[in-house]
Amino acid sequence: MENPKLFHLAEIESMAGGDSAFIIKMLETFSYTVPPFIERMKTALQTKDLPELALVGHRLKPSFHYLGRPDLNALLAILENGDGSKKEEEIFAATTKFLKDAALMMIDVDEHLEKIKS
Amino acid sequence: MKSAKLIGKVLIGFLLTGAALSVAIFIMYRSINEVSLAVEDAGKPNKRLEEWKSAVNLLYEAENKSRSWRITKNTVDLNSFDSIRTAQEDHILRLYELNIDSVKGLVLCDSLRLLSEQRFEILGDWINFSAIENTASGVLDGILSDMAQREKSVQKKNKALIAIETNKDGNTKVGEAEKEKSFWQRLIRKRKSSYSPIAVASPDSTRQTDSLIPVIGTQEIRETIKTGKIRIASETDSVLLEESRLLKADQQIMLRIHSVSDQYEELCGEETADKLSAVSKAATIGTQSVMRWTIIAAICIIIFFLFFICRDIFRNRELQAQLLIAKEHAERLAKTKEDFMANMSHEIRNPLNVISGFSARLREGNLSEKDKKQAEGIYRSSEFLIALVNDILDISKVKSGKLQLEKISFALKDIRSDIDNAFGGSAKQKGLLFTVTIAKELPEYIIGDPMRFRQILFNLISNAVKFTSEGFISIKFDVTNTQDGSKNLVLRVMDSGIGIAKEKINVIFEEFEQADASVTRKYGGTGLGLSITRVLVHQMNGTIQTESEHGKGTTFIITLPLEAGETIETSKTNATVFSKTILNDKTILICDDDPMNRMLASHLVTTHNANVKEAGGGKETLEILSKEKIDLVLLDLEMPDMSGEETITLIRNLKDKNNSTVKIIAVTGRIKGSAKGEIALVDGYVQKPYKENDMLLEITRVLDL
Repeated sequence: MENPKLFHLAEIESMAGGDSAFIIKMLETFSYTVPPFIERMKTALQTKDLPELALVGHRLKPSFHYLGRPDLNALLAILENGDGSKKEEEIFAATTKFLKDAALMMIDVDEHLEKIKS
Repeated sequence: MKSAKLIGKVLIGFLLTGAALSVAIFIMYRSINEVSLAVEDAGKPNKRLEEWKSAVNLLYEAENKSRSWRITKNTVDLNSFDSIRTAQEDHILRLYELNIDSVKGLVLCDSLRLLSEQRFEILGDWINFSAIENTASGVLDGILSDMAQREKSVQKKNKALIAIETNKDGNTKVGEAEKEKSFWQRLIRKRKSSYSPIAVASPDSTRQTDSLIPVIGTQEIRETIKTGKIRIASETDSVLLEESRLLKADQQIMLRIHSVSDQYEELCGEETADKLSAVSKAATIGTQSVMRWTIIAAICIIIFFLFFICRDIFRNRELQAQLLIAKEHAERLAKTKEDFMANMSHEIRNPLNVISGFSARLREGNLSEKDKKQAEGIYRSSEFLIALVNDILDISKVKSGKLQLEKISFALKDIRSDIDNAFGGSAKQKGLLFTVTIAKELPEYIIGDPMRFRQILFNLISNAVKFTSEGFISIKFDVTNTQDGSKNLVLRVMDSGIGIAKEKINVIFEEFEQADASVTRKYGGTGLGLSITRVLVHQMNGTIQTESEHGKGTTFIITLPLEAGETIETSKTNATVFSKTILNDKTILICDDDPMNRMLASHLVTTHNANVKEAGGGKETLEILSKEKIDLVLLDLEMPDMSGEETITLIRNLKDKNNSTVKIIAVTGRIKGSAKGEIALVDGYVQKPYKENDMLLEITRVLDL
């Protein structure tokens, strides 16, 4: 299986125990569940709804963790602003960067999913 | 105590044995003494017999003296004869004294006395005959001489006749005078009446001769003398005959004396036989007495020991019965304890979790300072109780032998990672240098029970973190070779904490023991952690040592048999740590609004043979719980339709008791501190993102698997 570039399957593979169907199912779930949250995030960014950004950020953290993107997880942690120490600008910048990188990653995931399915 | 009693019994036994032996020895000594006296008495010469023989011997001696006198005519012999008779009479008198208690002896003494007197008389007569014989011969020689002179002078013959007449009157006077001079003459006179023919014959013949001289011639005188001589010879023959008779009588007397002596010896022989019999009897009685007392002593000792043996047997039986009762009681208690433990896990832990959770929430609410302190007190106490209950359950499981250690391959690096995750943060928060090092010589994978291995380390490291306020905490994994060629894994947990006083080092491993009361007050803890650790180490055939100095730190050294495990692919590492069937027959409800999370968790538990139900929100979770029997809920605390706290409260308020007390593991992306309130209400906690191993560890811990 060709290694993807923008995400890593090590975490999922370790949990799958060699079950490729499980990996496909996870990727499909990712591909299916993440976009609505991306849309919610875009809206929240536009409306500068920090609680929504925090909520969506918290919600997406596990998904990006499973696909081996700690850098995107770190951005989501800023959105989440668990300790309330982050400034609005910092949160918005992080959101913008996350949306950009996540979009690229989503394309990569979809391509990879098609490949392994075929 | 038992030993002292045993020694007491043995001493009493020895004393009794000694007393019995002393009595037996005393009786033996007395018996032997009696036998000895009897033998001594029996061995003494018989005085009565000696006296008798002496008396009889004197009779022979008297005979010898009389014979000597007859040969030598020496008067000394006649004096000795008299002395012998006197001595013999003395012996007979002593014989009477010696036989005073024997009638037969006295009769025999009488016989001997009479026979002795008769013999002495016979011997006296015999001596007397010899004197008469000498006198008669001399007188005749004198007459013959006078007759020769008469031939020369008639005058002289008349004068001679006158002299003979004169001699006739004075003869009695001279005899009387001589009687006083000579014993034998007295003896002869004494017997004159018996032997008168001899005594009379001599003076008559002298008178006849003297009266014939003046009236007849010489020739006639010669003839007369010749006739006298013939008569003398005839009388001498008579005397000889008499002497012969005396000798015969003496022989008869001696025969009777011999007979009497034989009887007397027989009597003495009987006495000796009686003495010997007495000796034999004394010996027999002594032996019997010794035997009797020995047997009595032996019986006493046997009875004594039998008494103690029987008493001990009966006591043992009683004790066995008591032990049986105690065993049954203990078994009932153990069962009760087991039931109690089982109940405690459900009935105590859940309410405790509720108390802890609500008190945590309460203290964070709008309370006065005083109320907050009280809520904090409740929270801390409930946390302590939860830890205590968990520890008690653990140690109970270990002690009841229900703890089965797994032997599977696991990676040491995973352990290190777990240690870092669990304690690295808290150690750093306290400003401690926290290091974990694994020796290069150690294999990457080892065989063992990873969960219990982790529990041992976690107990020691959590103590190190708790008791160290500055300095370092260092955990080292090392390997050593043993004498038999095998290898040991050596774990060292070192800290620069408060340390332990030397006298307390052995105490800390006891249940509910800490170094001192102040430690409990200041640092808390149940006092069971190290006890559980030690039991686990021993169950793994290992050892645990403690090196500590008060105020300078502590080092725990654990040595375990090292067995290299099979290399496992990274992707399989976590899955192989736990048995594939560890969740067999367990139904787990996964409550998470994130389908990826649900999918992941579902995959994880179904891989270990669990049944899975999924719920995307709080309401769906409650619906499922109200319909189905669920063993465990993996509950996301941030679901959109219902908060974690609300969901938990509603679960606990379900009417179905089984599901209201269902085990719940909170799964949240929040850090533990921020979710403390909810976490306190549930049985376990896993932080997202989690590793399969972490989740399985928590699941097995909560389900007591």
